[in-house]
Amino acid sequence: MSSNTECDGDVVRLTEEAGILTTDTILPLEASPRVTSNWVEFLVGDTDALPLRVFEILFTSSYLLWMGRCVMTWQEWLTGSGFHLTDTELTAMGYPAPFELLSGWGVLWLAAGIGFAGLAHIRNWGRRLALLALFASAVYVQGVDLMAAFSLNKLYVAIYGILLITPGFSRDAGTGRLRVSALAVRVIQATLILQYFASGLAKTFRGDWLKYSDVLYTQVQGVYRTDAAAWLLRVLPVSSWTGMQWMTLLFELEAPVLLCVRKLRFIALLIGISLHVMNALLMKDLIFFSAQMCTFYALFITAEEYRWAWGSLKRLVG
Amino acid sequence: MNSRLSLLLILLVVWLVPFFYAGLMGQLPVGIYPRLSHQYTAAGLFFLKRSEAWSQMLIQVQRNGMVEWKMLDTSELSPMGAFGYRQRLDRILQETNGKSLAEAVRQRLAVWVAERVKQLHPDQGAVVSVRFGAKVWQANTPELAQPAGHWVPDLPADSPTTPFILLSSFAINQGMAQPIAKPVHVKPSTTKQPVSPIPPVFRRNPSSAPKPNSSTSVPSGVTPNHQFKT
Repeated sequence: MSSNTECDGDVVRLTEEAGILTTDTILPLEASPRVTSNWVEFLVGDTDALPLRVFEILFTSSYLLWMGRCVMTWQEWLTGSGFHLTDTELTAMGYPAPFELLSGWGVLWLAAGIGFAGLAHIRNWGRRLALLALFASAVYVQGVDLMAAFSLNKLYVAIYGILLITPGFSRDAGTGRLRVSALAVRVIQATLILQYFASGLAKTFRGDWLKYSDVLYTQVQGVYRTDAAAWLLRVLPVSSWTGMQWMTLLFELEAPVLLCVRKLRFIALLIGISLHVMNALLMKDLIFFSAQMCTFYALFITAEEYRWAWGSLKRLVG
Repeated sequence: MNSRLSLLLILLVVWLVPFFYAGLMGQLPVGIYPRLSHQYTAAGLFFLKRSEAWSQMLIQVQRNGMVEWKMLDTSELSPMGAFGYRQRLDRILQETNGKSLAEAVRQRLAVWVAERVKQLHPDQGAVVSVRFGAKVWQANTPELAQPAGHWVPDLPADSPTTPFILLSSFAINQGMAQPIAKPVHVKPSTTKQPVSPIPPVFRRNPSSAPKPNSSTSVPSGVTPNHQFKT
């Protein structure tokens, strides 16, 4: 494996190598073996598993946080004590038919299963089995009560599914470090990028974001409004909400470039995470969705950067 | 390596491309198994539109021997929160509202509400009627644009600027809910409330004003926001 594609696989560096970005070169239909090999390595070759491990720990922690919040109202959510829409009603509304509800003991087993599987996944014990349990639980909790399921539920199902079917970890004989195929990393990275880009395009072409200057201003006034949002509504001039609206839209539309180009990635992380923190502060309960989205950024930090940060932290602590 | 590339291709076709398309367009171009198609619509579905107004679903009950209607605290009936200051029950009412099944769902819900209230407050007399209503809060009014604090889910029932709009009313008798024949709309107050002037930057060209949302029948001429797909 070529060392320059390890861990990160910067698209720009690879495309420069391939001659795609140079004006005087036309990429031949039959690319050279070296270029093809670099792309294959970038997409599916073995890479340092550290960024994926960090992502997995954070992602599963966010899932446990979300499940912990939901299970606090388990009677309404998962048993017949709550009011539930019927199969016919949900189907008429365009939703799939729901899964069977549980008894009190069933809820206890489900909660214990999610807790153990989450812990096992975080500790990397029986990873494949833990992922299977987490995937099954994510499918069930999304499907059992669609009135308590949101986009974040769909992403838990999708990401656990991707992690489940893609190649697992292996240990490098020389360094003892975990290695993994870049496949899962690339697909999950692409999921985040496409999520932002689709959202930006939808806001632009199907939504009102270019038609009106007060889209964000009117959004923040409604049922999501926290005390912090109320305070900002009182003290900020309305034009500042317009500025935030345009900044959000610009970030979503530029996300593919900001997240793919190595030199711009720090800006993407800074803006992206700030955006989700602001969402969590200004909109009630969006902290769960924001936390989930922030975990994706762990995949855009390289293993070297993690090790450098960890080394610096250790030196600071002494 | 070939098997990894094949898997990448499969994930591209079954996940990334449809996920992007559904995020962009709101749904997949072809009908597939509902549970699967539902899975793709995670991006680009929320916060797309300007919120001209915010709606709030309300449940009121009448007890045996009482004339007045009492507003119920939905967080007591339905402790599970949806996103924002809304409960799971609010989402059910909101998402079914305006659909052909709305009346049947409310009828079933009326029985459940009466039973639930009886469980929660056994000493306060039997519920003899349940009614469902809504209020619509205009954006850019002082209540919403200059709020004292977070969204208050249990706002007064008869605020002059946001009248209670009756959706359905049911008499409860022996565990059954019977629709009360003709819904009577609660008369809105005629008192005009001062509304904060719209800043010039937000003044809209009338020709480009958004059309009322067809998915709800609650308001007349306004587009209440009921986004839950967070």
